[in-house]
Amino acid sequence: MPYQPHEERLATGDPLRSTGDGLLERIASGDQQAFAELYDLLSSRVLGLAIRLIRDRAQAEEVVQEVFLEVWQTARRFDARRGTALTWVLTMAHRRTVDRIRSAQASRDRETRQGIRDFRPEYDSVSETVEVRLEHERVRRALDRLTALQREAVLLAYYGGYTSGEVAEMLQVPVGTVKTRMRDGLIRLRDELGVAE
Amino acid sequence: MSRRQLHNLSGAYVLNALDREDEVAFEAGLADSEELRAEVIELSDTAVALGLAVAPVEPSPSVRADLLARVAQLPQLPAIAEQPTLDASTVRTPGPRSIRWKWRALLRVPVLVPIAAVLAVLLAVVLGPALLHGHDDAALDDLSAARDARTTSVTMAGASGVALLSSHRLDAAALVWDSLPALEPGTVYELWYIRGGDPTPAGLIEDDAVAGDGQVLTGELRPGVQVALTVEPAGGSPRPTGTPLFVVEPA
Repeated sequence: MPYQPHEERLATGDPLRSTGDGLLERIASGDQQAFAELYDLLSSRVLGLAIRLIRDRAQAEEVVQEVFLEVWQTARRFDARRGTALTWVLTMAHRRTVDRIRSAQASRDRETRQGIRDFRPEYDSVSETVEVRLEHERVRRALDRLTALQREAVLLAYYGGYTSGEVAEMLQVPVGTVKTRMRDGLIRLRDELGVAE
Repeated sequence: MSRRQLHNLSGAYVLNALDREDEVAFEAGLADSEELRAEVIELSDTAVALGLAVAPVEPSPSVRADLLARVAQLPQLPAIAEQPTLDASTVRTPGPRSIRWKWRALLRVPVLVPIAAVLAVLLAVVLGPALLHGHDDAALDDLSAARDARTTSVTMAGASGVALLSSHRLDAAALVWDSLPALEPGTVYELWYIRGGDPTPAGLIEDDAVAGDGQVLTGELRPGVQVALTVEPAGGSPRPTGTPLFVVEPA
């Protein structure tokens, strides 16, 4: 089956998935208003993800700053053929947060980061919306279809910011196996998410 | 690393779980494989679903205000043009110098790029290689194309379009400018890395470059360093003798 981007398959009438690309095009021509709009659309997503990984609001807000400055500076390099604006920004957010975790690796916050072996999004958050709940439910169900090793490898890397070497150590499996499980786990997840509801 | 081994890294790459060495190898593979690129796009899209399943959190209003104020001052990096936009049969493929020309042209134009500026950029791409006289072009182009390249605008009296381009991945920084004030005979500009108050020479800019150029700093960009520029006697100085024309912290 040819690959269809998520926004086609998972469309929920959600502006996140549809308006980002047009905004980026305007940002690439220096439109500061468009930049503000993209910020309003995605900043809470970036911060939510960064907090989830880094567990420190002040540092996570610095990630938001970094990510959006990078969006502004590199908007002309965004290529819609290589993915949506949403993917571009959230990928950058994950990357920057992980960079920060790695550069502070020596510090103890790593030990204090919450266990993430179980997928437990914060239902207590006041800002939570129905849409997040739906997305979460969909992802949780898809994750349930992975093998335990696939799921742990993917979640430790994505929500924990651990390298494949660290994941291998934590799960007591060879690092090559971890890398393979990350790949087939994500492929499985992709296929499960693609199943029409 | 074999093609198959490389392919196997795609999941870990998308999850940002590779160490630097594997990541560099994977990105090299990515550059020559359409199939690998397609897979990375798909899997990144999947990873984003994980990101969206996390509850959003509104940043403090000060983050927004601060960002909007900063972008109003911040130049944007040029697109990376691998292919010429004009018909390839009539235009020579731009050499490695084209990016810096585009870069400079873009620094000059106001925020909204009018058609004229686009034409100017195209002209610069075509004419650039013939007109330029600089050095370490390849290093400057690598820096300009680095995934984490950032610009920091620099305010300097009598100069225009000055910015510091930096990449922590490449441990490198470059100064780019439209124009610098002309030098007195027998003097040069000297760049400095300053670490903990201690300046290290980072290269000389000779008089013939003041009309617009870019230069990669010698030495490594270390975390926490500042970059400064002074005027020094011809041949440069081991320690700065002139007053700094600017001191700036790379982004």
